[in-house]
Amino acid sequence: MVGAEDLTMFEQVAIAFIDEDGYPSTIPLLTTRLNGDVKLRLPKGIADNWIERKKVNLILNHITPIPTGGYTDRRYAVFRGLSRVMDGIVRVEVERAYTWDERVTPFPQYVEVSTARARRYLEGIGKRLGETFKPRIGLFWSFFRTVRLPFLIATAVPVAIGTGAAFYRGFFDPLLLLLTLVGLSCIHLALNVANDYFDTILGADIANKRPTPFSGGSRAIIYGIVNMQEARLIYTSFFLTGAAVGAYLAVTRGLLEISVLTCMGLFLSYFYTAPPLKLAYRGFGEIAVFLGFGPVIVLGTYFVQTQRIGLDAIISSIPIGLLIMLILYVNEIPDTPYDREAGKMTLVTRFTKKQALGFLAGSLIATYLTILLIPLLNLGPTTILIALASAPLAYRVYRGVEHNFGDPYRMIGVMSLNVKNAAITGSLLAAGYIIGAAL
Amino acid sequence: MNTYRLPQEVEDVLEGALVAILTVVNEKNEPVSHPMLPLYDRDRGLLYFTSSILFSKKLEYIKKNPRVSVLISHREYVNSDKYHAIEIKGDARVFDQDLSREWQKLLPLWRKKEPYIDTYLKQRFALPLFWERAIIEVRPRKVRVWRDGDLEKEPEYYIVGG
Repeated sequence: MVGAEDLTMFEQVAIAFIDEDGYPSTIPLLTTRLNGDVKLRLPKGIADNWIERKKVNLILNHITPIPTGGYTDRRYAVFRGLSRVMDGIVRVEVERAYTWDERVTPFPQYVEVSTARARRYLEGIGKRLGETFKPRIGLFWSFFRTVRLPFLIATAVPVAIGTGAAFYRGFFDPLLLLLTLVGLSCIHLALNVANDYFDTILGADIANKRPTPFSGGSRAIIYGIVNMQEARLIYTSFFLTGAAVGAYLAVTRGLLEISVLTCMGLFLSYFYTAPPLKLAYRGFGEIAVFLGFGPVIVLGTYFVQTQRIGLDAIISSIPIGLLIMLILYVNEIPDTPYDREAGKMTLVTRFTKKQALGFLAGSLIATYLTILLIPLLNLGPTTILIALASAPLAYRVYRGVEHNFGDPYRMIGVMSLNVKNAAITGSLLAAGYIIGAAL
Repeated sequence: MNTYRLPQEVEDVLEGALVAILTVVNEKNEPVSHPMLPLYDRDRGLLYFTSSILFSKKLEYIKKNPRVSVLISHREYVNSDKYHAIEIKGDARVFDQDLSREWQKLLPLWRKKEPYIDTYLKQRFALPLFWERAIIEVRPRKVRVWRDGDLEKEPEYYIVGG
């Protein structure tokens, strides 16, 4: 039964049926109010008996035209069933109904639930034409999406901090910096692809129906941009390249220290999602990311330059480790229901909203307290305190998460802000070391 | 009335329509309807739709039964000086051999109706499967026109194709 209120949401009302000539027919309907009820009436030229007791579609449709062209605010409802017509008034005994309202189900989510159908269609065409079909977005964009290229910022910033801390102690070799950056970037890209590969096998990415540019994985495998074999080849190649660069640096700069740090990086990156450890699935993903993107990268970079490990380097790695961990942590919030469904028990999935916000606030406070401690403990120059300038941004991240908690699309802005906060704070920290050395 | 092509005022409405209801026939010989963006090629006298493979059921139905109907109705949804409510019955074909590129030949028509389409297309990598699209070409056969959109008046009928 279509209520009067339902109908006020739609301007276009029509009925479709199979006509006597074998073609479907789609006829506009008039809506009239009669004794408080809304009646659907056939237009002139359409006889009752053309439609009576036929299987029909009743379609209600709405768009809001945009004055400058195009439209927005789409919604429709379709009621399928048997029609009854008397004196031009149409009734439908509804057997099945479905609706879409983009305010309720945003378009990206609407698209996401149809992914499997699209893949089947591509496979069908592939079989028919005897070749493999993939979505064609070009080699660069395929690579960009598959490896999640923009997230390399999470490697570049800790490398900058390690380099800055070494520079403050009077060490800087640009070639070694480049090698370090290349090796670590390879391991990071391998981590991203391996993460998608195992999340696909373990079901977390397939379960996720509301991915965003920051959450739900790269979707490269889900969308068929790369297949599983290709993904495995990509992450293996990157892991091997990263390990080779690590081996070279170990031989030339310090066998024990670089070997240990490289092995730690490879271990944490691979077993972040890979069985049997599946660290992210057991609530250890956040600590793995903290260790990997904090101490491992910063210490590794610092050691490659200075050939020593000091408390100053360790403490400088903590703020960025926490902030990169918080990128993961905040990005996991929209994934929570799907991660739970797939048994991926990240830290957020184990928390209530209050606990989750408490952890976020605590980690942000710990980040800035550590920055404050560095010059207080005489482990770095006072100039690194410029990194505290991002504190208002961190507060906005917290408020944004609190306000939009769990809504993937409303959280996109705050997830982006959170990445910016990590990048800005880390860059200021690195700059603080370099300025401190110059003064 | 028999006609070789659609009357000009009908073509005007088709060119200005922002949305059409496309009805196809499923395997149980029942109608299945979808609101879609109609693209009318006046030179060829053919009506086009593009359908993402994400929503590909209709494509399979058309391949099995090419008979379709298209409804243009509601004044606000037609960006043209004149408005008529129009129902077209026609024969449809699906073009899906090159899902990535072939539909782009319809971009000039699409752009006229959704000027912002290029912005979305530049971000094709964001929704890659959405931009893998088949073309549905509809050759009009029978047309019913409620002049000025007045559904209380008898419609006019046209048989297209001579």
